[in-house]
Parts: sequence; structure tokens; C-alpha cells
Amino acid sequence: MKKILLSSIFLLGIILPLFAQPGNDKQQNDPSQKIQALYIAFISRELKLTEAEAQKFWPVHTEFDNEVRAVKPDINELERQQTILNIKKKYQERFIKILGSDRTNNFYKVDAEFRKKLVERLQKIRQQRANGGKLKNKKLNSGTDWE
Amino acid sequence: MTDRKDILNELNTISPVVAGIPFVNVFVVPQGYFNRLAESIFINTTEAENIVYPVFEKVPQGYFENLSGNIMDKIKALETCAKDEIHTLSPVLANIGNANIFTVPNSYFEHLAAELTQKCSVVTETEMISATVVSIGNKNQFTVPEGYFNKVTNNIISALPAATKVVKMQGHFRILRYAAAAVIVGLLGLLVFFNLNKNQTSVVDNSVIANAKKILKNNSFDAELATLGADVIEKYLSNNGEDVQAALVANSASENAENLPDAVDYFLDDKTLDEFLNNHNLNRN
Repeated sequence: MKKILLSSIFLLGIILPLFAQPGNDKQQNDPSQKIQALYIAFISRELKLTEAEAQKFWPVHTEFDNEVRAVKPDINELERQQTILNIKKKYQERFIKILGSDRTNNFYKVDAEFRKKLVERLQKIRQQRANGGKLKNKKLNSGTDWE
Repeated sequence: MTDRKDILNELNTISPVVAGIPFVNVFVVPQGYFNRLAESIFINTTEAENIVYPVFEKVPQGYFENLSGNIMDKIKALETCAKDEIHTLSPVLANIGNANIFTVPNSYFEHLAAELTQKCSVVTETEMISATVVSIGNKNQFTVPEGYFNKVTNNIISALPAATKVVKMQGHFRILRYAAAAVIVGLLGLLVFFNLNKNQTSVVDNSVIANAKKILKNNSFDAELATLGADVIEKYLSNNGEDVQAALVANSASENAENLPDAVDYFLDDKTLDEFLNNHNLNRN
């Protein structure tokens, strides 16, 4: 019995780090974690969150975010919007307790603003790609003309 | 006042009879009506049904004083009748009279046991039941040989068959033990792994918080944003329920509100929208 217990502890010592390692690597290399960090930085800056407020706000926000993400994207758009609105209403009181009503209202605006910044960045990348492609085509075309 | 007149007029149209009743309380009865009501109802009822009630005469004087005596006399007179009746039914019962028949002679119960043993011997009764028990007599049958209990353990052990052969566990049983341990550990590991994952979903990761603090400290939000790739942004927006294509069109439209085609252009040329989307790199194709 003692041998079994010892061998179990030994194997647990080997297996647990194996499970834990990929998770850590994933966190470090996952680009979505980088966006998450940018999001936290942006919201904290715009809402002027103090350390104490941040400690209370982010766990509630994570719960809120998980519920919003769980809303299926393939359902009717109106229904989806209504579900998200219901989630916002559900968390409203908790956010107000931490941020106050003005900053809670501001939070939704700032949240939308962050998404807008991402969309703008995406549009810029696409434009750069398109311009790059056009330039490349132009060069190729001019090359053939010259020849 | 006008209201009252209106009501009266309305009532007149509905029921002229009711409207014609003067303002008098119609629910009035003559004085003392209810005091005589029961009596008058009773008289009317008896007259109507021709009921004749018996007229009770007055009880003779001293009737109740002598009542119990009269009843007892009647019972006594009946008792003689009862005796005669019992006599005709059962002369034996009648002969018993009032004597107590459940009496025993003096000190009857003191001598009863002795008398019974005299009459019936135990030995003779036992003989009738079992001759073997009688043959045992008064001899003590529960005796064991001297030192019996001292030797009994050894006797039992010596009587037992030879000891069972002990078979040692082979090597493969040991391997099985380790395999079982590995399975248990594996299950424990999976349990811990899933719990850790569960916690990660409900709490913001510390490394993310640290990165966010770093961005705030260095004021490097725009610089960090500029390093993000298109795929990553698209994936993030999609995961957050955003229709990326629609968001891009909406953003482009708001940015290029002045350059949007006229409503007429859409009628004149089918490709107006496609051209606009292509010019702003928004077309999917």
C-alpha cells in the first residue's frame, strides 16, 4: 500500500507539469492574450480604474464576457442583440457598485471604441495589402512594357 | 340637485312604477310586530292543519313524593312473577336461589398441590411420555473427562488438515499494481487539469494583467496595436460576436461618408456597390 502511494505521488509529479506546461506556453504565445492585455490597458486608461477598482472590476467583467461570448452567433440577429442586452442589464448593478453609474455607461462606449480601433487597424492592414498588390502589379506591368 | 333629477328621469324611463313610489321607508312594521309574530304564526299553523294538542291535566298533589315508592312496589310485584318464570324455565337455577355457588372449603388451596401429587406421580407421567428419560434417572449427564478443556485446543489443531500452501505473487502482479496506480494518478491529473482550466476561464490570467500594466506604464497602446496581425484581429472580433465584414463596411462608410455613391448611381449601374467595396478593399471576393 505504501509502495502504491509513493509511486502514485511520483507519477503525479511527472504528469502534472506535463499538463501544466502547454497551458503556460499557450498563454505566452496566444495572440488573443495580447489583444486581451491591450483591451485591459485601454479600458483601465479610459475609465481611470484604480488598483482596488480593477481588482473588483475584472473578475466581474470576465464573468460578463464569458456570458456574452457564449451567445450563439448563428441565431437571429435581433434575438442575439436582445440576449446581449439582457446580459448587460443583468450585470448593470454589479458594475455600478464598482464603477458608479456614469463610468458604467462610459464602459459600454469605451468597449465599442476598442472594437472600432481593432476594425480600423484591420482595415488599414487590408488597404496596405491591397496597395502592395497594386504596386506589385504596376511594377510587373511596367516591366513588361519596358521590355 | 340636477343629478337627482337626472336619476329620477332615467328611473322613470326604466320603471315608472318604481319611480312613482314616494320617498317613504316601505320596510316599516307596526309597533310590537315581532313580539307577537311567533304566537300569531303558531295560531295560524294549528288552525290551518287542524292539529289537536293534548290537554295536560294537573298532577295530583304529592305525586312526585310517592313516585319512587310506587315504582318500587311495582318492581316487587314483578319479582314474584320473575321467580315463577325462572322456575318454569329451569328448576335447577331456581333451586340455587341467592346462595353463592363459587365457594371452596376452608384451606382448599393450601392442600391442593399435595393432593394432586398424591393422585398423580411425576415418574409415572414421564414413563408415559419417554422411557429413555426415565432410564437416565437423577444422574448428571453434563460431565466431561478430567482436563478435557485443557487439551481441547491441541486436539482441534491436530485434527485440522495440513496448512494450505502459500503462493507468492508473481512479477506481473506487481506490474498490474503499478498500472492501477498509474490509472488513478491519470484520473487525478485530468481532474486537476480540468479544474485549472475551469478557473482560468473565470479569472483574468496574471500574465495578461502584467502585460496590460506594462502597456499602461510605457504608454505603448498604439505601438502594440500596430503589431497585431489581420488574422488575429479577425479571430478576436469573431469570437466576440462581431460580424467582421459588416463592421468593416460600417467603418469605411462612416470614414468615407462624402465619397459614398449617390442613390441614383445604384440604379444607373449594377456594379456601383461592388466598385465601392473594391475601392475600399471590402469585397469578400
